[in-house]
Amino acid sequence: MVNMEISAKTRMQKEIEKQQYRALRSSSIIATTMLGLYGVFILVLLIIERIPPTEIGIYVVIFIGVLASNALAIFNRWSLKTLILLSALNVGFIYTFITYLIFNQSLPGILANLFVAFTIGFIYLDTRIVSINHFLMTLTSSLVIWIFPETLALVDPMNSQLLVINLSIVLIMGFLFVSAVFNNRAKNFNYIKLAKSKENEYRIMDSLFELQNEMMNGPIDRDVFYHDIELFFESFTSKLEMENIFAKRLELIKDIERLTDKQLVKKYKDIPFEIISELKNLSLNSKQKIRYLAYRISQISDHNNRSLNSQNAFNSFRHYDDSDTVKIMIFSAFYIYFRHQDVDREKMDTEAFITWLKKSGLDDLVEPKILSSFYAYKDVIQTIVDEAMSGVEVAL
Amino acid sequence: MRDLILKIRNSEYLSISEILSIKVGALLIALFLVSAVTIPFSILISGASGIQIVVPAAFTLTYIVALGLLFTNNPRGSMHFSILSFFVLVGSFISFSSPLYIYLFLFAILSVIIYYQQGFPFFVYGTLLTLFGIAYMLFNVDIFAATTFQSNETLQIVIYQTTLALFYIFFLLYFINSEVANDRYYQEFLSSKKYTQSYLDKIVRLKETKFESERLDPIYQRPSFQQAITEMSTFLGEMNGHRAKEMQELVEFYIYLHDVDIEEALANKNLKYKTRDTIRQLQKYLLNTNNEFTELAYELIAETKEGLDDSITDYATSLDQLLRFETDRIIANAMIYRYLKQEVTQCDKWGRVAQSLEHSEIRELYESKAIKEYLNDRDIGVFMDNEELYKKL
Repeated sequence: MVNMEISAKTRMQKEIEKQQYRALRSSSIIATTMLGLYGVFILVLLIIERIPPTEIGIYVVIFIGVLASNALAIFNRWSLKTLILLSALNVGFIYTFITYLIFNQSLPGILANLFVAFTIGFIYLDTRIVSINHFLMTLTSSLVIWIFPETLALVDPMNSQLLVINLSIVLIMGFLFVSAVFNNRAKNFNYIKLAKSKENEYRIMDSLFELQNEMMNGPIDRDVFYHDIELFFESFTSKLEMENIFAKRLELIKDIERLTDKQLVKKYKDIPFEIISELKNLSLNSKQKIRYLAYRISQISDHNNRSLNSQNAFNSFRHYDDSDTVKIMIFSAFYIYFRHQDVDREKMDTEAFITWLKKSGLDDLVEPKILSSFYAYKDVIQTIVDEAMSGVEVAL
Repeated sequence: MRDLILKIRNSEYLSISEILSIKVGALLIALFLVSAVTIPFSILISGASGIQIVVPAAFTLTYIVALGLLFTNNPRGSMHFSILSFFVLVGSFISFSSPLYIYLFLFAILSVIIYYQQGFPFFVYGTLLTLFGIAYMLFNVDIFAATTFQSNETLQIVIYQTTLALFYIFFLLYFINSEVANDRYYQEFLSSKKYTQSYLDKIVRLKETKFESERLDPIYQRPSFQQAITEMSTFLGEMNGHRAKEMQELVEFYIYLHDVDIEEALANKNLKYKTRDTIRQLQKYLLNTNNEFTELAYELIAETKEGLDDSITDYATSLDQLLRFETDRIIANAMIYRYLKQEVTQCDKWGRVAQSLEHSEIRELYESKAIKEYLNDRDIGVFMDNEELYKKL
């Protein structure tokens, strides 16, 4: 059970990271394109302002270096951690570069470029990068306002004017930061939900297989199954006039079900263990992939005929348009449902129900005040329900 | 306040409209604080001239409408008026100041729209504001140039315009990227959910068959269930301020609905609105169909199941990702075909889970677009080229 939980967590974590990676990679593609466009804009500006060619050359080399490293990371699918690090470096680079230009080159309107830097940082759908971006924007704009107020093009600016501008920027950054954090948290939460949904899909299939096995006289007859497959490959290879290269693989797949890893390695010395591990997917053991996939494929037509949209896809005990009384009764029905035995499961006691309710995360879908009442009076409720279930008249 | 902080901390559980309400609320509070400091100050300095009356009046009006819409549960409408309110308030500061302020003001307004993270309003307002900004600078080159230290005024204006346009375009790309990511997530989530519903449908039908064949009572028909739900609902209802009678009537109605054709009941025009609304609320929680209650119940049951083998580290469904050699994929393909042809996975005409797929149906599956999630073109080609052999399997 412990191993099972660890492996489920690993699978879910991997799925979450897959989704995060996908989002960050598409953000990186857009941010790198933006960076490239911005680089061209700055290059034109530097040429018009007749900045010495050697200096322009240095800027171009730096920009090309940054863009190339991004392109490498994107196309070679570097790891999520590397991509996060690179994104953070990109954000750091763009602010450093613009701040350097502000303080060292008298380019017109360069202060406004900080806003462009901000948009490039904002594009990354990752809370860490968003935090760095907002911090750097607040810091650099404040520095520029106080150290180099001429960039604001104000004649003899008063401190009060600078303070108002600075405070406005800080306030707006604060609002945008909160908003971006909301957005990224919602996205991460969705990734968790997706991973959970995929894990549940397999587990619910388990329930189905168990019920089906019980009702339809046992699981697949493996001997007959493998025998048919062997016959198929004999015909297949003879049709193609080739040696039956599938026979040994099939023997190995059958052996996977009865031999340990050590025994398998010993028996199939010429096959690397990695391949043996891959072939485990094809074992008919009900916990391996092939049966789940085959069943999933069998439901394609049913899947395509179902209409579901994001409005009605999210289950809950606390839909905003349901009345309080309905919410109370449905949660009660849910608890009592699990206190009863069903044809495919045993009944649960209150403690087990609470444990699984929390583990499954379903407790978050119950109206908090109803859940609090349930937890606070769980012993009383248990007594009431026990007595009601055993047919005793309950005095309330 | 505690509730609000708790809501923000658990923002992921909030609906889009609840999050929007919090955002509008926060902006309205900030606007209130800023206006409380600036408007009286501004009147004191400049006296009660025309503009000093019109601006506070316009601000107060838009602010009250935004507040009203927020309290009447219309956060989207409130959002638009809060943007307008911000526009009026901040616009009043810059009316007599540097043109650069006007420029920064455009960024401030765009930022407030970005703050709401709504793609369409950003597209509409953002496009208008950016075009206005570019045109304003174009037709007021002299005003901008008069206050700059730069020698090349035209270049300065072009840079300001380009920066504003880049800001707008980059954020537009951000919204598109964010929408694409959301859409991708929803597609994948809905697909997984539809498969789950399909399995649950089979579970519910198998259970029905079992109840019928073994003459068992489904849970909702057992007196112990009906008695217990009445007692518990009454108790929890009273704990939360609802009358016992109200709860008992609701339970009775809920139990009764299990024996009613819901579609027919909802189609009955003589039904009172309240009854119809209660049926609508309860229908998703009935225990005799595959619905939301079943999905929630099996989410909990799923937690008690083992699922995939410990050695499986992902949810990959494509044979390409599972097996690197074509030989192995051909074996997998044959096993899948054999499984589809032999195992009971479909419902018969009486709705019982009792049928497997026929060759022609499997062929249709192999020709469908959805199969590409599992098999690549070569794998499908192997099947199509050797169909007669597969047929005998």
